[in-house]
Amino acid sequence: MWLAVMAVAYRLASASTPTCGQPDLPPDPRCGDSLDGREAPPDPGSEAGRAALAVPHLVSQVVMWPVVETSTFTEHHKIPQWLRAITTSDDGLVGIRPEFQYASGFAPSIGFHIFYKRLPGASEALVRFRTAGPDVIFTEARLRVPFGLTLDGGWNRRRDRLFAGIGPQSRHDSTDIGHEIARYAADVGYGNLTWATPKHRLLQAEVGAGAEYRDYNSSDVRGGPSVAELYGAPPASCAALGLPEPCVDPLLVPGFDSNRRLVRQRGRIKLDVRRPGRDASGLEIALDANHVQGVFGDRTHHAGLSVETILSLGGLDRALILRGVAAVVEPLGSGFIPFDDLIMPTGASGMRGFPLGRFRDRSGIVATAEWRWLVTSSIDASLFTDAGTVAGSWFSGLGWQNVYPDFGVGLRLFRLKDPPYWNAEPHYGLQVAYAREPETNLRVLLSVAGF
Amino acid sequence: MGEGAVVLRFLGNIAAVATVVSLLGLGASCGGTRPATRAFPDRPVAWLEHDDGDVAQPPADTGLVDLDFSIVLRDSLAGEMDYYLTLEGRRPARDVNALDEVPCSTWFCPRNHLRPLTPAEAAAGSAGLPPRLPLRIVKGKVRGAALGYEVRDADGRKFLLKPDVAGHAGMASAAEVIGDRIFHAAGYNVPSSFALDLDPRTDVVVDPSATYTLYEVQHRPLTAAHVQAQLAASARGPDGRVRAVAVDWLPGKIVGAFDMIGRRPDDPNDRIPHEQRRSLRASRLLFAWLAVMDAGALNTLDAYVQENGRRFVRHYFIDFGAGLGSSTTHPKGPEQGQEHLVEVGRSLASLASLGFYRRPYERQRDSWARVNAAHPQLGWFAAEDFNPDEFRTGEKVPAHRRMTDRDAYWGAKVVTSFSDAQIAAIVAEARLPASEAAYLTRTLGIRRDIVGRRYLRAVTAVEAPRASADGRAVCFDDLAITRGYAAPGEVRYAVTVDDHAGRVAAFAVPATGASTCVTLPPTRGPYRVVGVATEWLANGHEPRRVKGARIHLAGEKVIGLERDD
Repeated sequence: MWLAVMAVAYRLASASTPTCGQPDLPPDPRCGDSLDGREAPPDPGSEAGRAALAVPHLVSQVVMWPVVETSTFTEHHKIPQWLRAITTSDDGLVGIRPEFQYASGFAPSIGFHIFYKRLPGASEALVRFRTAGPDVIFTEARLRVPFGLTLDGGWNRRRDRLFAGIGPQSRHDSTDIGHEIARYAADVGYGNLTWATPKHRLLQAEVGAGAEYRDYNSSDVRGGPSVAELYGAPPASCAALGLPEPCVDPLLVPGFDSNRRLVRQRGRIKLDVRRPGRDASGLEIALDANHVQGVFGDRTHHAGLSVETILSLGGLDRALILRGVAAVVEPLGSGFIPFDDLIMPTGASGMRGFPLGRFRDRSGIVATAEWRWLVTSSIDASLFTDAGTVAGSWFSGLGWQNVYPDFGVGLRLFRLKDPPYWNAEPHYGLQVAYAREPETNLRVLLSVAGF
Repeated sequence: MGEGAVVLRFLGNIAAVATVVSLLGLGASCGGTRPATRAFPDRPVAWLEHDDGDVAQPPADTGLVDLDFSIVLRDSLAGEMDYYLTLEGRRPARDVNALDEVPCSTWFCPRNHLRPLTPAEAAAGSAGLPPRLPLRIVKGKVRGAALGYEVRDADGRKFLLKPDVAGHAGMASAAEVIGDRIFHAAGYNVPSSFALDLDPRTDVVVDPSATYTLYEVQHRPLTAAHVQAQLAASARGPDGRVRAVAVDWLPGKIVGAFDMIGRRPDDPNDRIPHEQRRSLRASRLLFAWLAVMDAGALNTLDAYVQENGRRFVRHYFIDFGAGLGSSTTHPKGPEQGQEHLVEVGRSLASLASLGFYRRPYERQRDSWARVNAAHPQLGWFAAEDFNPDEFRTGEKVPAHRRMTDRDAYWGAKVVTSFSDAQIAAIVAEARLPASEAAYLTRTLGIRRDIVGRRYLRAVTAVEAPRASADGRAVCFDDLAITRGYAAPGEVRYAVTVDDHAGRVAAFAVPATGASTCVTLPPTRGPYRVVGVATEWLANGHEPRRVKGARIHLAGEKVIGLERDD
């Protein structure tokens, strides 16, 4: 028995303990030898250089350590997987995802959307909710059913909506006449039924009808002075109009004194000869027409028309995009155009360096030149400039002196599901735009959804 | 001036001084004199690493398989900063013997490039028998992009079964089968794999207790209906059978993936930092050859095994399903295999140049479209467009990143050791239609030759050095000529002879064929170092000299071969 134990012990020991130091044996790393039998080569680095870089090295470690460790903790505990599991049904057809939206000058909102894809056919339901507290609430529900029909409706509240007068005045000129940037609150509810032809066709059409209400408020606003403060009517006028003080001057902000009850019809026809893809060349021309009629005593009655042309000069993973938009809105009959149905060419889909609502009038134009290029297969960058303005009825008074430029850069992140990468759809976007305006000159536009 | 400004200015000064000193330091390290010759001891060449000593307790699971984004952050950002800020430089590999070869270890054991296998041996792969049908599904595959199941065959042996995606029968399964066999023939540890055509009604049954893991965290029962629905969306052959690959389950206890940097602290056999292993560094060339885009720590496994009475950790590469034209669930896009997920330098170059900097894959759209149209089943696996220098795995692999010219030469030696017949035999194991198999065989051959021309001509390809019986001449083979990537007429060697007292002679000799012999002048001692540097001759141009090699002789015996890095 003891012999067996000793034999096993000897075998184990001999297996793990080499015979070292004998020149006729091959090198053995267990003896501290290198495998080629030679002493270690000199260190290729420089000690002086390392000493000099010790501080930046330490800084990099201090910065990166928590990042890597946090990520490691998150992945070790499968937190993303748990989040997905908790927020998604077993079949993946029902789920909830977070959303975040931010644009400089307005309160950022955070929320979620719920999707439901268990409906028959290719039907899909989507519910969105974002909020920044009681001052900003955004809700939307959309049901997409076969045959190109979409039913959508929603309710949203913002108490930081922006009004900066009507017309193309620069901030400097606006200040001179006392028209500063003001804020107002509005609750908006709407419902629409839309029919559209399938996407990716040469000729696409879309028609829809809907109803909408808007309730304005000037007493409880966020983000700046109220429209009642800057565009208020004298107390006597308020009394004459039968409005409580302080009230908004209806000449300066038409339609603010009464809430809106509207029905609208719209149609869109688009000719798209662009190939699909991030760098596709081609031309797209879209014509939009809409008609808005007040109901339940609302005197609103107007029609609008807009033309948008996009010329894309695509190269290999690069594209120069030239875009022009012109829009008008005109009153019909004895109706009038409320201030927030005027043409507003600013914001994320117009003059990006100017907040939504900065300019408004009966007509407006925007021209954009954008250079997009590949940074990685999942990221592209853009350098853009927008220029635009507003003018009176049918572009009356349109002048170069009132055209305002902005400049910006952007990054888009694509989710690569199916190769090739140049057909991927953007998933996240970040744009920074600059316009020469006091206070709000640098704007950040960020849109994030999903995980 | 405020305190903040003072601190900023102080930090700015430190940074400026640090930059200047570091540049000086770099200059010193780059422009320094050539290091003194390090002599080899006169003793047998090590052909075993002896890293299979008995380890009583299995090491802990590394947990690396759970990490994905963290490894990218660590290796592509933090690791890169470390690399540059510690002036790590080009360190030679440490798993290399006196003949500049990688000895047998638990990581790698040289096979085809030292002792060519027969085509049948190469095609056989690692020891393992194909599964005997029917297969009983016991569990759904937990990780990875592809659909898969843990199955037991009729003999109770365990496999991982991975069906191909619809429309691409043979795409991922061929990549798996071919990758496994080539890596095995090269010398790496890999599981066996077998291409199968399964009748989903009779060849696959679902164990009543089978489960799958939803979203990698929630266990759910795996039903026959569930499996049939999944298989219905898998690739089918003309006879309606499901094309899949069965990968043999690794032996022993799985203790996680191995890292491509550092060592396992709880494995006493693991003495060489992984990033300093040539077998891992130069695996980059095999992965490039096969276009395995997701190579890295995530596709490795360590198994605590018992062999010859000893218990130790054996290190495996696994999962070649994203090789060849496959990205596992789709055909590869042109960027896949040519772009790291995070690559700061090239991204900044693109960003700062407003797009004037172009990535190589941007010019390969035509090739992508052409190959996909011609071989929709196989995906994008191009031949002539292949540039091994541009190969990029998704994760930046620390060991690959540290590959030196010597390591690359060795890797190319391994890649080019595969003959056309071996490749054809290996491809045949994937059981593809004849036209697709012929395309893959041809493409692999062309890519192999591109690797050979790129790396065997970049350094002096001295192999098999031997001295004459009287020690007055030394002969060697030139691998670039042997493998057909150079003609003797375009090669000349600059030869130097040194002894313990210094330089004895320097002269040039033309290549006389695959082997060349050099007559040595008398020296003042028995230890001699014969330097050989290839000079490429081109009409009308100065000869172009590449990195050389030095043959160390003790009397008439070759005791070492070293190459310039």
